[in-house]
Amino acid sequence: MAAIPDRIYIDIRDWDVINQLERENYFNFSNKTRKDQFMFALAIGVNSDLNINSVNIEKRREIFLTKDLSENDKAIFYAVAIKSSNGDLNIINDLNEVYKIVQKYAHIGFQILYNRIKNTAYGSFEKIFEVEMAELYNELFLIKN
Amino acid sequence: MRNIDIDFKKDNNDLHIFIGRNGSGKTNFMNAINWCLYADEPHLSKNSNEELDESEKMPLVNLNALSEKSPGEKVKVEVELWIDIGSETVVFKRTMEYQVEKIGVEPKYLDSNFEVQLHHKQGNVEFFEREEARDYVERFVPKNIREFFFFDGERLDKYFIDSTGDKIKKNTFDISRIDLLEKVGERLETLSRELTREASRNNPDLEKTNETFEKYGEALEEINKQIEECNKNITLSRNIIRDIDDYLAGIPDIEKEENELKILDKKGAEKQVKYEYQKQKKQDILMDYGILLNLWSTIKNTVDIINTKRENNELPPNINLELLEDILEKGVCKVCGRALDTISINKIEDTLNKITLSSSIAQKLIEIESPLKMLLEKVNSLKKALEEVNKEIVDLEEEMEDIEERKNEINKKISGYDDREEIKKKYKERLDQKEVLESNIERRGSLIAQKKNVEKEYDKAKEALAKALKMDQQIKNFTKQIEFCNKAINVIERSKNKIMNDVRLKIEKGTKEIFFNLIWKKDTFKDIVIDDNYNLKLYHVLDYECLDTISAAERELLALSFTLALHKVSGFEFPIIIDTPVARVSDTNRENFAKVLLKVCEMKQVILLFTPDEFSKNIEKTFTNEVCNKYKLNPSNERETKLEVII
Repeated sequence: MAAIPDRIYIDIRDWDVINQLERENYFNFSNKTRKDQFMFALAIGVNSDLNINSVNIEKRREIFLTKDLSENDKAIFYAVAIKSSNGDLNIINDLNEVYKIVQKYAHIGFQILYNRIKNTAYGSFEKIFEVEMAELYNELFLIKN
Repeated sequence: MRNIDIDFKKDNNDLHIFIGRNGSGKTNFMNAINWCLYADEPHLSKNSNEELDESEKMPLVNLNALSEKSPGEKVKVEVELWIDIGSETVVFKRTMEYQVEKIGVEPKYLDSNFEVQLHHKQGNVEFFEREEARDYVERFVPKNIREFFFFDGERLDKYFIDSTGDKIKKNTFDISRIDLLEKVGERLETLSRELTREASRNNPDLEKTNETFEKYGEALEEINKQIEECNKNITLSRNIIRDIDDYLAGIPDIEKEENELKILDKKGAEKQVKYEYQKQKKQDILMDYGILLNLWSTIKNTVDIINTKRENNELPPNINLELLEDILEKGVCKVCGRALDTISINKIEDTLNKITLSSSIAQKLIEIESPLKMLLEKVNSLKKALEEVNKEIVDLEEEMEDIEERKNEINKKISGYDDREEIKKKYKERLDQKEVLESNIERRGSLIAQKKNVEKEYDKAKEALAKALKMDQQIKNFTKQIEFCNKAINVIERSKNKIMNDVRLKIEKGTKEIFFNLIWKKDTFKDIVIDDNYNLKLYHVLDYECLDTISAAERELLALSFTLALHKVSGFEFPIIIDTPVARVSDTNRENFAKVLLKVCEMKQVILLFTPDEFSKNIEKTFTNEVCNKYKLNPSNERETKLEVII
């Protein structure tokens, strides 16, 4: 059994996205921890519903240590892994695989963020994001009910 | 001007006009009349020689005439005023003779003469010289009311701003011609005091009573002096404030505005900090909210799985395995402290086996169940927090916008003033002067209250003195004389008051008649009252006092009406001469005021001195065919002005 990694990695290309987000300080990115930045990208990636099978992290670089993960973060990681495995609960016994899954989703998230920033007028990304979140909220809670 | 003879011939009207730019000699004309009558020149302009020493003043003599003379030669200044009154003509003639000593040096005064000639219809001439001539002038137009015959537009405009009830009372006193009564009253009072002192000389009790009476008399006099002083200071402060108000008319209080700007800047900066904080807070909330909403389905999915497992009893109860193992090892119940019996041991071992049999998966699911549920619940609280922070941001944006708007307003208001320091100084000066004014008004109030008390004591002392005098048989003769004096003083006082009151009511009536006859707004004003304290009040048709809110033209008309009423009541036959009559009246009302002057000249000789700017096309049009004489003052050089006859 492979040793459990003590750190989380991202694709080295995603650093450019982080730098850009920090430069323009979207979501107060420059004051966030690496772990928070990672969780944000992970959430975007997960909600995109894109398949992670095709995701290949070619060159990776560590972003934070797993000891910094809170109980909530760990719970989210497991939930993402369970969903990614179509409900196969065995995945949660394989922490290595869980980390790989979340890293791939985060990579998707960073790429989505990159494209959004590139294709949105300067300064308007947060506003658009806020509108999208309102729509998502309605979709999840109001329209369904 | 020299060797000029101006004939103010009357036509249908009695209107005569001089037009000349500043410095052309308009005011000299007023001064010449004043000099002829009173031997002074009261209308010196602000930059003229008013404040110079006698030796530095420009001589009265025409400078060109002076330069044509050689040392030792004599030169004369002479002004004659010819005034027709009915079938008689009065001539006032003043001459002053000088001798040229050296070229460029002020000529030496030699002699002066003043005489009045009364030319009767039959051709006889009556001459009045020296004291008699001066008395004639005092009867004709007393010096102390000349300001109602010679004045400028500014004085008309400011008359009721300057004039307190006291001033109007003084004017009324002056034209009532009761100064003789006043003098008799004063003399009688002195006499009464002297007699009382004489009578009490041999009677210590009486002397004491008289001392008390005199003590209160002196106290009253002192209080009256102080009240008079307060009144002077009040008038002075009001004049200073009025002058500053004139200077500051339409100019904002720059210091106040700048202070407000500073406060607004500070407030703006504080709001900006709050705004930045709220924006950052929003970014933080939005990020957390985004994470949860994006993961919500995923988290919900896992929570649903856990719930299903629990419903299917696939998850173990929530038991502390370490505690059970510790109890088993020590053989003692950690809850109740008793030793374990066989049944208990079997039961614990059985439970532990069951749990061990449960998968590590189930254990993990139990571990993540609670955090995941908490995350799901957090979505709504984050939504609320986002709404709150958005509201806070909108409020701050509005507040900052208001601040910016106010700042722009202020900047616009204070921009373009180069003399900011001077303006600040003036505002401060006005504030200080207002404080002085208020303190004097307050002091006057307290002095008046004090005066009432002293007056009571004075009356008591007077009564006591009268009683004491009566009781002393030895001084019967004195008593009679004193009583006579006091009675006479009372009669004089009552007469004075009655005359003053009659004159006041006549002036009020006259002012009202003239004003309502001349005013162009026929439905705006209701009444004019000069109250018992001699305060003039103008009432709007809606019954409120409106003196402070009327236009400059209306104010000038009111002052003119008051002046004409004074003329009428006083009975003094003298023209009215106004320098720059419409300088302070705005364009629209100039024509109205010119029409008023036209009506006035039907009843009285009016001489108007205009500047060319003032004498606009509209004014000219109003006066066409109505003016008897029209002159233009053309300065030929710095020393001399030529008088051009236009009509």
